[in-house]
Amino acid sequence: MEIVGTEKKKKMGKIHASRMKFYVLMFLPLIIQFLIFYVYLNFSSIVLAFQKYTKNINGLGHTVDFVWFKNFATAFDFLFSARAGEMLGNSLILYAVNLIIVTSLALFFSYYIAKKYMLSGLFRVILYLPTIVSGTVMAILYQYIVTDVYIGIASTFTDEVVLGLLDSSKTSEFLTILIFNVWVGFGANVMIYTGTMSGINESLVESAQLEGVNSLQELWYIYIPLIYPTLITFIVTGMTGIFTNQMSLFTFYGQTGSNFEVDVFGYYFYRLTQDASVNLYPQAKPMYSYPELSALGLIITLIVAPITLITRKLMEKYGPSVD
Amino acid sequence: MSKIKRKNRKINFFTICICVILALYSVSIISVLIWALITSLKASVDFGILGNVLGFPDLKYSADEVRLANYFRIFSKFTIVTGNATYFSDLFGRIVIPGQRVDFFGLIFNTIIYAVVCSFVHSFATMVAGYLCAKFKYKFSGFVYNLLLIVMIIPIIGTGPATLVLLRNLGLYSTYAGMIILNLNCTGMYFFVYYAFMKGLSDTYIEAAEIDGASQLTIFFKIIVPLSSKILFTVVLIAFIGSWNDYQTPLLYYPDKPTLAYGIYYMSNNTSDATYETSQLTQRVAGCMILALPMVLLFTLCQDIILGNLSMGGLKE
Repeated sequence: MEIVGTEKKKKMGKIHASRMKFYVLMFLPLIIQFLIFYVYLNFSSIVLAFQKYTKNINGLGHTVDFVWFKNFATAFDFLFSARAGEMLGNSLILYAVNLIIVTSLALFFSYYIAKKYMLSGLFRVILYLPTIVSGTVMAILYQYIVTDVYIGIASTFTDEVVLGLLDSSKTSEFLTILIFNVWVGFGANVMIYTGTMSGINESLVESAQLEGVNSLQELWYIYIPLIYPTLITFIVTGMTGIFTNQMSLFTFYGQTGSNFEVDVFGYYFYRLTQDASVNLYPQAKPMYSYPELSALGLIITLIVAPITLITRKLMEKYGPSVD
Repeated sequence: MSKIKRKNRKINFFTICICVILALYSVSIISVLIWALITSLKASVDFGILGNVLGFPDLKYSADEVRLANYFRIFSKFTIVTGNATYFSDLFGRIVIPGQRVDFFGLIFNTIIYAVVCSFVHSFATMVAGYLCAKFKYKFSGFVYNLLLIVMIIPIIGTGPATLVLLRNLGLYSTYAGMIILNLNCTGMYFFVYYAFMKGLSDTYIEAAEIDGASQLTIFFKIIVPLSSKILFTVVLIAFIGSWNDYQTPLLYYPDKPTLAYGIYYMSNNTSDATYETSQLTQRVAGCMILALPMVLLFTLCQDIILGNLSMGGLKE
C-alpha cells in the first residue's frame, strides 16, 4: 500500500514538473516578445522623445544627443497651433456623432436583431458587410460615387463646372467624410452587442412584459444594463480613437491629397510616420522628425490615458446594474 | 418555447421604425456594391466620355470590354513599384533595395502570406497565453492576466516611429521574420476571448490524460486545440479577413512586400498618370472587386462561424 502511495506521489511530482516545464517553455517566447515589442518599445519611444539625431559629416552613421525637452517644446508649439485645434475639433465632432448617432442606432439595430424580428438575419449580414468588403474598398467606391458619379449626374443639370464632394469646400468635404464614417461604422458594434444580447434570460424579458413594458423600456431597462460593460469598452476605446482614428482620410487623400484641408491626428501621425522622407533627422518645417513625433505621441498619451481610465471608472461606478 | 418567443416579439411603431431604417441602410450598401460590379464591367469610354455613370454597360461601346476585360487587364498589366524601403541600418548594415516591381500575382502571394501569418500566429499566441493563464494556477498567470488587461485599457499613441527604428535596428524591417515576430504578441482582445473559453473547460480531460502519461504538448494539441477549434476558427477567420484588407500595416512595416490591398489603394491614388496601364476608373473599380470578392465569398460560406457569438466573458476583476 505504501509503495503504491509513493509511486503515486512520484507520478504526481512528475506531472507537476512536466506542467511547470511546459508552462515556462510555452510562455517564454511570448514573454520575450512582450518585453521587446511592448516594454522596450514604449521605453525606447520615450527615450527617442528626448533625443536628437544628427547625421555625421562623413555620411556614415549619426550622433545622438540628449536634448531634454526640446522636442516637447516643438510638439507643444504644434499642439497649440490653430491647425492642431482644427484637427482636434474634427475628431471631437466625429466622436460625438459616433456616440450619439452610431451607438444609439447600433443599440436599436442589435435589439432588433437579437429579438429576431423580420429579416434580422439578412440585416445582420449586411451590417457586417462593409467590414468584410473592407473599409478601404468601401472608401474608394464611396469616393468614386461622390466624385465621378456625382459630377456625371450634376453636369447634366448645369453648365457650370461641378466639383466632387470630396474636393469642393472644406465644409462639404468634412460632411462627406463624416457621413462615410457613420455609414460603415456599425459592423463591430452590432456584432458584439447582438452576441451579448442574445444570451439574455428569456424569463426576465417575459416577466417584464407581464408588467406591461414596451419595446423601448425593455431595451432601456433590460438590454442596455446587460451590455453595459461592453458599451463602456466601446465608448472608452472611442475616446482613444479621437487621436488614432484616421477617418479613412489616408484612403481618400493619401500622402499628398487635397492640401489636408480636413485633417485629424490619426491621419497626421500615420502620414508622417509612413512618409519615406521623414526619419530620425531634423526636418524642414512643417515636417517633423521621429523624435518630435514621439514627443507628440507621449504628450497625447499622457493626456488621453488618464481621461479614458477616469471615464471607465466613472461609467463603471455610476452605470446601471442588472437587477 | 417558440410560443414564448413569439409573444416576446411585439411589433409596434418602434420596431417598424428600426426595420425601415435597417432596410434603407441595406439598400444603400447593396446598391453601392451592385453599382461597383456593373461599373467594373463597363468600357472606360462608356463610363467617362459618354457619362453612363449609373446605367448598365452599353454593349455598343463596351462590347470588347464588357467580357471581364478590366479584370484581365489588371491580372496581366498591373504592377506597382515599391519605393519606401530604402534604409541603411546602423547595427546590421542591411540595405533594403528600393524600386522592385511587383506584379499582380506577387501581390496575391504577399497578401496570402501576410494574412496567414497575421491570423494564425496571432491567434495561436493569444490562445497559448489564454490556456496557460486559465489552466495553470501559478501566481504568474494572475499577474499576466492583469498585465494584459492593463495593456488593453491604457492607450499608447504615437509609437510608430519607435517601432520602425526598433525593427530596422534588429534587421527585421520589411522581412517575413519581422512579420512573424510582430504578430507573436498575446496582447489584445482575443486573449480574453480564449481566456474566458478556457476557464469554462472542464479539468477532467486534462487530468485524465496526465495520469495516463500524456505529455503536456500532446494534451495541448490533442485535447485543448480540438476542444477550442470552433473559437480558434472564428478568431482566425476574422483576423484573416482583417489582414487581407489591411494595407496600412504592410505599407508601414513591410513596404517591399506590398499586398493586394495596398495595390488597390495605390491604383486608386495614382490616377494622374495617364500612361499608367490601369488608370481608368472602371479598371480601378474592377480592382476593388478583385480584392473584395474572395472575402465576400469566404464570409458567405462561413457567416455562421464569423458572426457566431464571440464573448469576452466578464472582463471585470
